[in-house]
Amino acid sequence: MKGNISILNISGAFEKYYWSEIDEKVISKHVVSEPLIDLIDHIDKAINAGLEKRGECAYSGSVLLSLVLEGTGRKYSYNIDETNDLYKEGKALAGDVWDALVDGLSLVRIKKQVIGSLWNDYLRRNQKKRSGE
Amino acid sequence: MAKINKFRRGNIIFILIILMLLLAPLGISYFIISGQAQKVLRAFELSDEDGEARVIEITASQFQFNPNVIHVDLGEKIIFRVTSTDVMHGFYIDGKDVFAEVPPGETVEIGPLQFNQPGKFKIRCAITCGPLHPFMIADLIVEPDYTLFVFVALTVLTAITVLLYVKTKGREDRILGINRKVKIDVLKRVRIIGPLLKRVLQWRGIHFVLILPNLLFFMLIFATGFFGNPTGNKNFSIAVVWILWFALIEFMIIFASRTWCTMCPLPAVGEWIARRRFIGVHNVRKWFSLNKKWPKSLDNMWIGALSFLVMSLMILWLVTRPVVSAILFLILIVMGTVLYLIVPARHFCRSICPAGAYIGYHSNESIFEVRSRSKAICDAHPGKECIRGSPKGYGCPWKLYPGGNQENTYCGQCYECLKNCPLDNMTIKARMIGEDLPEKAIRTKNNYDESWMGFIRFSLVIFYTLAFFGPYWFLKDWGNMGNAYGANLASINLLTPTMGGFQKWLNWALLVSFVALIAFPAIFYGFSWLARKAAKVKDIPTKDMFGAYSYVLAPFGLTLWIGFAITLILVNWAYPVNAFSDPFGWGWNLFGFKFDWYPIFPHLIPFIQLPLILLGLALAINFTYIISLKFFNGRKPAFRSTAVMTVLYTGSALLFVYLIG
Ligand code: SF4
Ligand SMILES: [Cu+2]
Repeated sequence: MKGNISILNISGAFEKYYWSEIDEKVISKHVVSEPLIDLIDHIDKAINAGLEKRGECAYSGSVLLSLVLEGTGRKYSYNIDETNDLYKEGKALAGDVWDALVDGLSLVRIKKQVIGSLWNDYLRRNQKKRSGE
Repeated sequence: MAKINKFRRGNIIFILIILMLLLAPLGISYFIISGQAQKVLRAFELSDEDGEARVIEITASQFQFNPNVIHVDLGEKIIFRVTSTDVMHGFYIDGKDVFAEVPPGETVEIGPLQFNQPGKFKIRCAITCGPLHPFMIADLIVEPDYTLFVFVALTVLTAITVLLYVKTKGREDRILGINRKVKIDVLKRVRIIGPLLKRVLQWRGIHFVLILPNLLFFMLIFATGFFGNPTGNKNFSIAVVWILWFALIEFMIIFASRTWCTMCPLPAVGEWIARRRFIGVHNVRKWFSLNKKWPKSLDNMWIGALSFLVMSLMILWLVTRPVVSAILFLILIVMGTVLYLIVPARHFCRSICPAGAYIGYHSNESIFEVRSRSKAICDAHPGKECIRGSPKGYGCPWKLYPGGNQENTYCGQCYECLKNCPLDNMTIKARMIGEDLPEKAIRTKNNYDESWMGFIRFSLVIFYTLAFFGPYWFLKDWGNMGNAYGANLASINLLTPTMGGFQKWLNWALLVSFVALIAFPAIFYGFSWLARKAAKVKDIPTKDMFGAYSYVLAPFGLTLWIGFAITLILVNWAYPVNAFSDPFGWGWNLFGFKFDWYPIFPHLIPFIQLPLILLGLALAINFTYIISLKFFNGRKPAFRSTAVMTVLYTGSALLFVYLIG
């Protein structure tokens, strides 16, 4: 479907490297999806600036990684799998978002959709964990 | 365990031998010279009997003494009768309290002086008498010249010792007995300073903070160059750039590689404009630039090497005419800026800048490098922030893959990779001089840009020494375009050389270019051919050996240049220091100091230079051996070809020794 942005892999990566590392007491919808929101904003700006898609999507992988590091209060990751996973997922998502924006989907809608599904995913996974305990 | 201990002991012994070898010149020569040690301390004595003194007539005129080489005998009493034919000149003999003023048209008698220290001394003009005043020099040779003899003997001895060392103990991973593969991760291993340095270098403002003062100096250079005193040594633009900066750079290379390029103002303006930022990283990565690609055929050191040569052909012009220097810097900064706006990367620095070219060429001798901690991690990391950039920094503006980089040549130490790497994998390492030089020499096949940079640099240190400190006026007159008088903008017509002056300059230009571009490379090729014959190998073409061996000129040339730089500073330190207080040469005294010109320890300069020459020679021989080992996989052929090359290196060292000793 047009403008269908899959966050499945991202939420897997976030569960592993982001959500589990946040040390804030109250985890809100905003906190859960913050790096993604910033990433989507970044892509929107890049498109408006007329940048080229391939390079920018790859760069977005690094943007996502650095946002996650920032969000979890770290300067570096010493885990190469983490850097590679986040990079890969960020790049893939950036491609989807890029296409969706170019196809005319509005920024607000994309954000809503992404945040919504990420939050659901987060709840679902946490539910599972709790019931598994 | 025991084995390791044995090795360590062997190492230490060799380090000691090398150290002794380097210190020996100072000791032995001093001992021999002093024959009667006490007398050395007061080598030039005013004699009380006037009777038998020999009179030597000297004329001083812009900018030479005539005769320019004066021989006297040890113990002889001399009276110098110096006549100035034009303006006021000074008469100074190195390291002695002989300092006389020679007014225009007058004759002044100096002496009688007795010469009890053999060797070569410089007679220098001590009063600024015009643009070429610092070059007004004559040689005074006190015979028999033991010093030269000892210097020659030590040079030959060094060559033989190092040859014996490589023959018996030489190994691929040892340079002069020291393990060249040992590196120290400065940011991690050095306490306090390491982490501090890391913080500073990861701070985005550091670049700007380092560049800003240099940019301000640059503005001052333009101002003084265009409007200040037309006499070079009184003008900030000349005194600071061509004495202080020129000399300091050589040291910076050894200790900090291309650190100058961290703070260089030439490409900075273009970089700021293209980035649309002074300090920060723009989150939308759009260059204010035409975003063209740099042509592959220009992505090498050829233009840089040639621009260094061209700059050197004009050096006597540059260092005596503030206006000319200012125009050169103006051209460079405009080029640096414009090129960045066409291709948004440091291609000006990689391929055009004359300073960048030789700094990069020699930077492989540095004890300093920016490298990845583990290349394996970089290779397994597709994010490659060091290339592409991240929100923390720009992708390598020098167009390297920092994580996989194996040489210093094109690393301009902007530290963007240190800021970018999310895995904390980039660092600064301290290492042995020329740690990766042999590998680089072997790797770089069929590219001769750096080889020729080596020939140019090596030949030019000899020409610079002749022009700056030699007694031969005709060479200086050639290089100077035969224009005796300097100029400023008000008299710009004087800058246009006369036909005769231009013809003279052509002599100089052709001579220097011929030696640097053709004669020396040809001789080097000849020796490489002989070395190949001596090694009795068939499968390696001479051109590959020629190319690889030429890299040993990098450490060798650098030590010679450091020797030149030390001389430059010791003799002329007063000019740049005073230039800070009086940048325009208008007689200001901003900081309340004005030093009289006098050289520091001028009679010891050769003894400082000799160990450097010998170190360069030793490094050259040893690196040749390591490169040969890599080529031939056998000690015998490696040794034989090294021995052949050693003849050439020793010859070149002797030439230099002759100039200084
Ligand atoms: S290469 Fe030249 S212009 Fe570039 S930073 Fe180095 S010295 Fe400056
Ligand atoms: Cu003079």
